[in-house]
Amino acid sequence: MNFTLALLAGLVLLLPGITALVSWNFQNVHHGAKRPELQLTSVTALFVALGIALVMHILGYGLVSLGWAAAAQLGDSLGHSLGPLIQNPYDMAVGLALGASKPSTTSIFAFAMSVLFECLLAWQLVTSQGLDIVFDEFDVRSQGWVFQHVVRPLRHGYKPIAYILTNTPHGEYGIGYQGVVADIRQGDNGELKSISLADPERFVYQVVHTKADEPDLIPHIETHDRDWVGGVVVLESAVILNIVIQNIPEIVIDEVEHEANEDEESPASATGGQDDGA
Amino acid sequence: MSTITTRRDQRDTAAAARRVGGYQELVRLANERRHSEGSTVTRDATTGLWGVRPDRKAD
Repeated sequence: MNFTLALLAGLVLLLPGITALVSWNFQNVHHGAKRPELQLTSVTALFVALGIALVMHILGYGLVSLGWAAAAQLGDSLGHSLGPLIQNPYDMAVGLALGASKPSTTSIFAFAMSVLFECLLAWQLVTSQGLDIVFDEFDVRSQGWVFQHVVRPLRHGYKPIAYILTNTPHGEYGIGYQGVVADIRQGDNGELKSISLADPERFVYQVVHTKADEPDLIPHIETHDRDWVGGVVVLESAVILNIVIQNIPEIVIDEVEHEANEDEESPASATGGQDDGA
Repeated sequence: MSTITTRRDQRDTAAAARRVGGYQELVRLANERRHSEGSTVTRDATTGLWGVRPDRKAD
């Protein structure tokens, strides 16, 4: 086998593993907490790709061999032949690699179909919810605190709310935001690059050290002038002083909605109740 | 596949926060509810204040 053909064969054999990596990176594109892509040139990624490719080929060989044996048995039991059984595509591939046989076009086509099917399986495996459940406790994307305090609670029905104080440009006063975490960007080492808040509230915060009329005052933070900004606010890491993440269970949101709807539907009954009491 | 909140999540959470009077109030209700088992978030019809009370089903 010449070098070009060998390279092509190597790529075809590695294709299910590469597909799994592409699927992983593709998920990352739609992932709110972004990290850089997993490169095929990294040792871990190459090891994972080889492992997945190997597992897929073993599985593929088993299924194809079973299918071919079943087809031969079925042909015998039917009593009439539909034509000669094409060569097992895996046997053909091994024969071709060793230069032992000349493959038929149908057999090459069957091998290509097997590899495509394996790629599909690899893609499905990586995107499946089952895999998410298996790795639920593990921070496989190396997101650090974002995984433990945002991504994982979100998977379990909590909504992350961030309380962010920005740097104080004017001494004791600064601007703060509180809103639903919409998106988080992280750098190569997991450091925060930016955070986006949806429908946030904005407020002025004040670091209170002393008051003339309260000599024993404990230093604390006071907030003033809360207002709804709406839309989305993106805060770069350079302006962020600190972040507090609090998770709200979905059921609390549902209960608030339910209670508000009940009040809107029966305002008369509520007033009626007061009248009766009076 | 998990993402940070969808637009629907954001809308529902913000709507709940607006109803109770802000995110800080929503956080307070969630904390109170967490510490009192078997309770639900309710609104007092007379005062209009939001709070946490024992589940009405248990009454």
